[in-house]
Amino acid sequence: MSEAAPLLEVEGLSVTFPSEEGDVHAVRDVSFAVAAGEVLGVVGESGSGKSVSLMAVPRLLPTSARVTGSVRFDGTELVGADQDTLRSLRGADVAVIFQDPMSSLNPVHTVGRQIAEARRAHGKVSKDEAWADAVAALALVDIPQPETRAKQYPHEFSGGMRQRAMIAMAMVNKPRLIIADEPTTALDVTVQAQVLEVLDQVRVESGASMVLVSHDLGVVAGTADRVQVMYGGTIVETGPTEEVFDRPRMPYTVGLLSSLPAVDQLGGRLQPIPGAPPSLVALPAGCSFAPRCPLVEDACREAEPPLETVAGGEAGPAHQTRCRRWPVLADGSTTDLFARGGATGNDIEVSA
Amino acid sequence: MSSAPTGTPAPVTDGAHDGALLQVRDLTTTFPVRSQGVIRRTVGRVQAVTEVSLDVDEGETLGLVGESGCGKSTTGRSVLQLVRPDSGSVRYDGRELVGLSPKEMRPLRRELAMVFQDPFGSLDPRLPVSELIAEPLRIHRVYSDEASLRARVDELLGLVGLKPEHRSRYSHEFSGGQRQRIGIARALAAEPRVIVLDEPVSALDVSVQAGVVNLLEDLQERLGLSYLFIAHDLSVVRHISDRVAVMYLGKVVEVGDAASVYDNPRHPYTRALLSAVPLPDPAAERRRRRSRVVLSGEIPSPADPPSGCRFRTRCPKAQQRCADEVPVLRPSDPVGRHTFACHFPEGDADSAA
Repeated sequence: MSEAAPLLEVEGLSVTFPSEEGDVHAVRDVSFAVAAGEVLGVVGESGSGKSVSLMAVPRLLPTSARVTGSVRFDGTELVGADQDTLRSLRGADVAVIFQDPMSSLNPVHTVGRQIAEARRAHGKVSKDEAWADAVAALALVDIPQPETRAKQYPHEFSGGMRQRAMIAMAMVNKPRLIIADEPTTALDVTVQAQVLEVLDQVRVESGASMVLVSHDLGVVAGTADRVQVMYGGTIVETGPTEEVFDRPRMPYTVGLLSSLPAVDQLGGRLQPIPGAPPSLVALPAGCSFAPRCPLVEDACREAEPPLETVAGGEAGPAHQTRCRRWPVLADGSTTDLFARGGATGNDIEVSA
Repeated sequence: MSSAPTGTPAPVTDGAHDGALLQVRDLTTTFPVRSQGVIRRTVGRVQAVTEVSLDVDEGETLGLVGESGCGKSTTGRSVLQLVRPDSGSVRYDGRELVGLSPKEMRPLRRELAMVFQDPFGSLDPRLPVSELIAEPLRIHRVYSDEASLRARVDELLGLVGLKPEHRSRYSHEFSGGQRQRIGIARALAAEPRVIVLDEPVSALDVSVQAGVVNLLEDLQERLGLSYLFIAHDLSVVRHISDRVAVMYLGKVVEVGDAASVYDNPRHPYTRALLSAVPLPDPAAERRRRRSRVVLSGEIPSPADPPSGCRFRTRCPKAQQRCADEVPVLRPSDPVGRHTFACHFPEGDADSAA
């Protein structure tokens, strides 16, 4: 990593939501950084805190959210920042692409008008200039006949085109950081391939950094320089993408990878992770993965382990894990770690 | 469309033999397109499913894949007569289902079950688990006494990996994976022989999904079930299926043994679909991205499908013939277990048919 300060620096970030059952600890003490031009992938299952931790950056959270810690974008502190600071950042330096473009686009305005408005919100440009920029942005994301398409309404666009229009809107103010939250999850696989290609292209051309949040390990594998795995509201493993995928040092990551069926080979039996993710209201005292972990020891249940560096860190980004027992994974094969998890992989035994 | 004579056997289109437990021939289902406004006249019809032929053998899993709007779900529902097909034939264990009245269909529903995608939407929130599972047993009057019914409910709970003490809980108290297990227990209640599973694991996280997939495989082996497994996730379909049918815009474009279709796809759509699946392997995925055939455009409207081959508007190999002539399913191998519908298939030396 270069000597320059990272573009985005998150330190000790926690996000808590009040609920009837008690506080929901959606994000717990999360620290990470994104360098200029870098792509960080954030993976995890539902309720892992992956989206909330990124939505805390531009502060796109419900007002009930309690945010503590520090989020610095290009040196400016955003936690506790006033609305003006946040507003001037959102949609300009920091652009967000959501999963569902239909709910982010206004159905009663043309696509071109919405992109032009986003342009005018952050730049002193005339209406004509903004419109020209909107059309150019649509062309950038490979929308055919952008002049005609700009005059159409969101419902006249197909799902893939709408997502490309969202990317166009995100790019129109030349952001330095793109936060893409499950940007292709709602799309069919052939359309997903188109959108990922467009996203890659605009990102490389603009030199923007990107945080890609996805539950799809394949999408992240092909895009991210670094990846961080989230579980129970916190980062449990992080490192260069190939390191984490090829040499996972956290049992949860191993389980996630081995529970996937492969499209390129006929697999044997799938290896599910037994049990269910923890409740974010009542987290276990120690490691949040301990109740499901095949390597668990008494010490794992006592205190949550810190992130420990397993490789790298001096010349390049470190590979870190929140597992006390990672040397076991480094020694042996990780492929059958969850194989003894029982026939159906449930914590409840099958009474045959 | 011309009503195909259902009495005569259709030409062998999918490599299956006559003895299949479930035989679908030239199944066509359309939906009306209504005009805007108060009167809402029918102004046209959308062909959701067009002349689909499939076979599901006893104890076999046929995977049905395709993208949204390809007609795979409507095919599943048409097979079970949950929507009425316009024409074609569905023979289950030698009996024709198309044209049966709901009353005539009812006893057969015991043997033909369905599992839906959304474990939330398909389970009544006001009923405890025991009643959710007992409901199909009551409808079919399987047991005359409550004790036997209760014993069967507990047996079903065990079969899907839930405990007897779960019987008095409500569906909202369960996780997504557990709810899908309840949906499966419900489907199994009346001892079906065929289950149509419509995206049964799509809403689940991968670590949970694996457990439900394993459960379905166990149940199939233990109970000798036949599955029509409908899903958009190509990896899951490959894993669970013996044979796979690929649909595009209402038609089956390729069908065959899972390994044959996935390793040697003949239809350009199947090839593009497979190449678009991102692999959870960084080095392999980066290589794939460089060589990926990214299709342009999206699925056209089924209200106005392209002439000839329906895939031609997105096909990198399309030629004039593809617009003029509808390709029919033809065998890829001498025994005809793998068939495809394309004039210029993948893997042909000169692409000349």
